[in-house]
Amino acid sequence: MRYFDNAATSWPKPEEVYEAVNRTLRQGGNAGRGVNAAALGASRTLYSARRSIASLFGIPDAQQVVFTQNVTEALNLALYGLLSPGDHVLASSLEHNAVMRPLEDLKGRGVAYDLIPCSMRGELDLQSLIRNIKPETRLICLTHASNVLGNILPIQEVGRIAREHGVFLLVDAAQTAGLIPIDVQRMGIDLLAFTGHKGLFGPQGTGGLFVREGIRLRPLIHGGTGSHSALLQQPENMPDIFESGTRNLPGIAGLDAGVRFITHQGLERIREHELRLMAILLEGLLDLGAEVLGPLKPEERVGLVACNFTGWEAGEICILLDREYQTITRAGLHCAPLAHRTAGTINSGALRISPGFFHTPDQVEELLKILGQIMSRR
Amino acid sequence: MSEVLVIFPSIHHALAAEELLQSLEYEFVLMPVPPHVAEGCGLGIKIREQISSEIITILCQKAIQVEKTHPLAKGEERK
Ligand SMILES: Cc1ncc(COP(=O)(O)O)c(C=O)c1O
Repeated sequence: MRYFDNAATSWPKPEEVYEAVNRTLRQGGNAGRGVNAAALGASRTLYSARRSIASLFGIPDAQQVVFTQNVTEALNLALYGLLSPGDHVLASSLEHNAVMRPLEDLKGRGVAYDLIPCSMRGELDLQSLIRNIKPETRLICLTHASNVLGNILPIQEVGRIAREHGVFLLVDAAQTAGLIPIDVQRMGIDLLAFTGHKGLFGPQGTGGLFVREGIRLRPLIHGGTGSHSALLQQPENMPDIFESGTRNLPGIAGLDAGVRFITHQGLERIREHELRLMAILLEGLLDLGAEVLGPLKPEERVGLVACNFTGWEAGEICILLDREYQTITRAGLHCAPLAHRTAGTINSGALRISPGFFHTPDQVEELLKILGQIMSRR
Repeated sequence: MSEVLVIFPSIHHALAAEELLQSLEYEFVLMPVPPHVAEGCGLGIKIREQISSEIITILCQKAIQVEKTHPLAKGEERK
């Protein structure tokens, strides 16, 4: 199988990730439930993973990291936990449905939102962002990189603007965590939502939310935490307040191994490799006559390219690649209709190609050759 | 010799304290918090009373939250 859908979920994972999942599942024990050796081992797994994540994102205190099932749950926790009727939110016209659907639902509950327009290539209109901050604006919610256009958004600048206006900044790092450096302090991020199964190399069903100290969120889920068991009310301390119910321990152990792999390789090296693959892919696609979404400079993008070929439906190419060449890509709207509207592809969708860390330049060339063969059929 | 049980709001803090005290080569024992004390995450650290204020200060400096300290009566941990 040729796998070019790493923006959906990364594959393969580093060997250490498979091993960590296997080992943890065999060890047994439930974190925080008792002080027996197995339970303690499980608690240590969570502790270690929290520390790894904190260190990757420049988070000073690991207790501010909460584990969730994915970035969608983390975004829901941040949005529903923070916002109350009368509040106003600013988001971009590139947001994923993981943000848009909660915002639409919250609209029905008295939380207003406005979308800051982005250009066809994805540039965020910072002046419009500033103009649209109102006294009721509580939060700016922004994707770090579009999962359709691939462009990287100026989080640090937005962080500064948010600070200046006393507004919180929530970042959806689904497409950037593990691929480009994130430092919550330097970038002024108050809430950072990440998913474990993409750039962080963890298993599906892992993710989390960083909550800056002092920000009070209402939990989405209430229940047993293993702590303060005599108390009928939800405990208030981090991270327990947001971690009711058994965590995905094997998954989180795998995520920890994934993050350690990244730290060991070095983010810089990972990014360098990604940029090298992207330069080849972008150039090759343009040579084939593709209409590429998003910026044309690799350094302004993450490792995905969505594109269309004249005379072809994106879905047709996707199916041909899959059936005839065992090559996995993704066509359609990628759960982000707003981003496709911004790019002008709401009706056609696009074919998204996303190489990963384990690809070689030759493998990207091979994919381009296959695409060339398909194109020559018409 | 009197002993004190340091109680933490979450296991995360108990393990952070364990890591720190280990690195500083303090003597301590990780142990369950007796249910009748009913506070914290259930995992505590038993230390000698003599050095308890010193240790609490160190934990504080490292922002490791302590919920409370509980003086251990003789044999209480086996109750
Ligand atoms: C920008 C963005 N946000 C959110 C998500 C949702 O991720 P998950 O399904 O892991 O919650 C994705 C990926 O699908 C994404 O690309």
